[in-house]
Amino acid sequence: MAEPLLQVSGVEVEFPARRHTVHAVRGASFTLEAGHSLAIVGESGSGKSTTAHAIIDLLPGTGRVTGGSIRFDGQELVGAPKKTFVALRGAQIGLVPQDPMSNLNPVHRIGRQVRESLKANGIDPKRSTYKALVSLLGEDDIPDTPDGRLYLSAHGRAGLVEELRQRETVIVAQTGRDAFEKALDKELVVGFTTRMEVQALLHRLGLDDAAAVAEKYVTGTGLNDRVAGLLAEAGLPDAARRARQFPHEFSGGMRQRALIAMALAARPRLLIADEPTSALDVTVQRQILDHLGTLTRELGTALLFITHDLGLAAERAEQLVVMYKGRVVESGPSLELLTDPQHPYTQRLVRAAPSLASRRIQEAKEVGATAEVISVTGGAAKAVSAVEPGVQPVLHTKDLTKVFRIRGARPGSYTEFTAVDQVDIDVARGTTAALVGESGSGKSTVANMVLSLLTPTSGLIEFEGEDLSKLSPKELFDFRRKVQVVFQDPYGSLDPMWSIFRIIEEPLRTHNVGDARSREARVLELLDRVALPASTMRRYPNELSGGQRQRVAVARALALNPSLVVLDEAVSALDVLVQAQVLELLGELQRDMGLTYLFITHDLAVVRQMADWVYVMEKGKIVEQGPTDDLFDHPETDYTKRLLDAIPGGSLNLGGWTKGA
Amino acid sequence: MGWYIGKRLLQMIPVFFGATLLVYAMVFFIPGDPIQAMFGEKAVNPLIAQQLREQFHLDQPFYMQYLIWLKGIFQGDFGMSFSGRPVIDEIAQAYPVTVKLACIALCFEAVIGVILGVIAGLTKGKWFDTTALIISLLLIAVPTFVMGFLLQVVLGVKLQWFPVTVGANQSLEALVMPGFVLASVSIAYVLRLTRTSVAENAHADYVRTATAKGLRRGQVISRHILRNSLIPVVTFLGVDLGALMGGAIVTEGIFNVPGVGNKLFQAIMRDQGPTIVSLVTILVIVFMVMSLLVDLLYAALDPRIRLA
Repeated sequence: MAEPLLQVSGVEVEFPARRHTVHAVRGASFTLEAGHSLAIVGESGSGKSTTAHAIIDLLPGTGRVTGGSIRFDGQELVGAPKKTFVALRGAQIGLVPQDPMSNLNPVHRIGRQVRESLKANGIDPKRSTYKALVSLLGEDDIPDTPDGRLYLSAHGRAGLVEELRQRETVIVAQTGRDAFEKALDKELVVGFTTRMEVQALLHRLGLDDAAAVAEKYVTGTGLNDRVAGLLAEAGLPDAARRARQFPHEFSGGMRQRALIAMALAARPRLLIADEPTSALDVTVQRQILDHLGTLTRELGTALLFITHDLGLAAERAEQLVVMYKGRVVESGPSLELLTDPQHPYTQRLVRAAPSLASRRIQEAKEVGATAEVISVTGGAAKAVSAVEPGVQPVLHTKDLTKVFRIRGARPGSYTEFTAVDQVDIDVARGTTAALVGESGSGKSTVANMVLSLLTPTSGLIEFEGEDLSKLSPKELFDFRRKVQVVFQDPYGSLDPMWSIFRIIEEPLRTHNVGDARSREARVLELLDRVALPASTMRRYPNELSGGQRQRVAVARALALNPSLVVLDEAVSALDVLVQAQVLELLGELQRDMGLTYLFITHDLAVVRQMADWVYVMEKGKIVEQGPTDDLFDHPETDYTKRLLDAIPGGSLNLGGWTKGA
Repeated sequence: MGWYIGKRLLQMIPVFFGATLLVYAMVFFIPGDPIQAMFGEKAVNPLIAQQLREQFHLDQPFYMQYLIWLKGIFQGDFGMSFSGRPVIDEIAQAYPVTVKLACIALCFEAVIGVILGVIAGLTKGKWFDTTALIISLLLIAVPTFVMGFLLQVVLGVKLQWFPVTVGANQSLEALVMPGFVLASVSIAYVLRLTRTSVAENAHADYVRTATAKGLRRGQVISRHILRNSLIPVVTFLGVDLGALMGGAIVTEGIFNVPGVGNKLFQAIMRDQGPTIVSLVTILVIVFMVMSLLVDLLYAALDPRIRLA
């Protein structure tokens, strides 16, 4: 066996700072064979991204590798000169970055940014065509382009389509109209379909001279056609037109596809995917990961996957490396590591991962399925409402609708966009109702209307039986006291200039609760409730970790003893372990204080652990609702099924897995 | 786009009326008699004074004077200055000098400010950056007239590289020194703006992605850092050009440049109402057009901006 493609051994990374040097990676070691896949798993700050960046010399700021060895294809990279890395990047090692929103240059067209990847690495399809022609004239050998392929150009496609149209009757007679139209419509992609593929297609269509026709029309592409082809390959529909657009005209998923196209443009042998989907919706996440997996397999690219989601990692990579505080604590084949974790940290991680927890509930139920069948079939009919008849819900909406006007180009012109369409939800006291959907489904708009931050276009919102639209300013003020919110981003939702004491005390002060001394006592009590030490009071948000900040946000929400707490993606931005802790805390508080939660999220795995009743939203409408277990076990709409399928780890067979937990 | 420009042009109408009315009122209420000012210390024949008052409509109430002036403007008549020349002639004479001076100053700002700013931004925290920051602080702190006199003495009188004042000789050479003095404070602002913008963009995610694609450092800087960083700078330069077009009273005074600033200053000193109002009106229009152009330029540079 030859040397592995990537061998990282004993790598140390330091970030020297004035006061003390941060030792981000301490002796990380792992090996990745060509064409295989490996995932580094860990929470933020574990050094997983730093390790990946060290490989291609992209450490931020003062970071540098201070020890160990990184060998790529037999070449030592630690201490290598800059030009070695310039040559390696893109051409040999591609990078798919984390956040598709910030990783594309906003002022350049997508096509130009993909083209840059080709040019920077000396790949010019035109020149390769020329080389191919030369070798054709000189020898009888198969044309040798850099990646051994010749692609269909826009010009060639037009000619080919015309040729096929002329032979339409013959082809249709042999293979049928559908196959013919499909071939013309879908299977001839500019800059993507190779001569070999065209030949195979023509052969299927029953052409005797398939090889000659393919040779005539597939003669290689220009840069722009190849760019379109790469984008199409990354799964972007209508790529030629899309290539002329700017990043802001793309959705997050589309941007990530463009970034994948860039990373794979020069056909690198190693692809580093740094949390490529953590900023995307679950369903999009699944599509992108599936696509990335297929592509790297087809191209024989080795995949180094960085993620905080253990379920995702185990599903997508053959080998797992678990990192904690800069060290590799455990590594091995994915399933083995998942079912039988040795290190206490890995065990905690396995326990906390929501995707796996959801899986666990599923498996446990399947084990006890026989016992439950009776109760399911013979029991009462499936519940139809979140609230028992006759009991007043804390929150009730009826036909809730919000229409936004989108201003047009001309003065006075506009189009209407229905963000929320006749939504009925009920939240019973002391329970958790979850509102689930992809971004753009309208779930946050519902939350904003419930919080009375947005005025509904039509429909009714009742809070404890009172119509929100009829409240006087004074009553609205009281309403705000009873309804509190915890937002997604614990970095953005706390004022950095305010001390934690002031942040938690603010709602008490605003609503004139108690005097200074009793307020201080209350803040201390709240901090204790959310398991933060009393000394936190004097600190500032930037001195706290993400999880601690979210605890502060929870404490602030609880300060006024609210009847309803709206949790708007409250744990989505947190690491798995922290997420598990905050979820546990929320559950505990609900049990102790009888809190009512409206939980807004895109993450179904979390919902399963938290919610009593689930509403699924799609394009502004509630498409399905039901008790959590029912919904998870018997989803009715395709949309819900898709959301459920998208939970990472779904395809894992965790047969012997109770042992690990 | 067309709708946007139309909307902006419509917005100019109230600004035009508001600005002219305000300036007209201020000039009207300046204490002192303009007719007396024409004659200096000499006694004025009451009959001639009366005649002049009627000629310049000074016997009419304020609002009538304003309306008469407005009527003139719409007929392309900017009125006569008290010295008997059409105001438009005086403007036509003064404006080319001011435009020339403004362009020279803009060149200084763009070239020196941007180049130093880019280098400082890329080497943030190093010696060059620190030095550039200190110099820019000095440029901001030193008053224009000190800078002007200093250059006159050193470069003009001692070294004799440039003419000390401009006067009738409005050659490029003569305008270099006032142009630099006029630009000096803005150079410092452009430098700082460029530096901050470059330093921020140098750490942007898309810059790292560009590096990861295999681009060389030089390509990363020119294609990804520069273009993005210069958007706010170009905007600033555009607005500043608008301000420079308004003439510079102090600089033009020091170097005796017969530009708009100088004319305006003299008109104010001599209580020449019509000249002041007409000059300021033109300055207001120039400024509004410039800011419209800057907004259009901004949209052209940054594809995310949609003008509506």
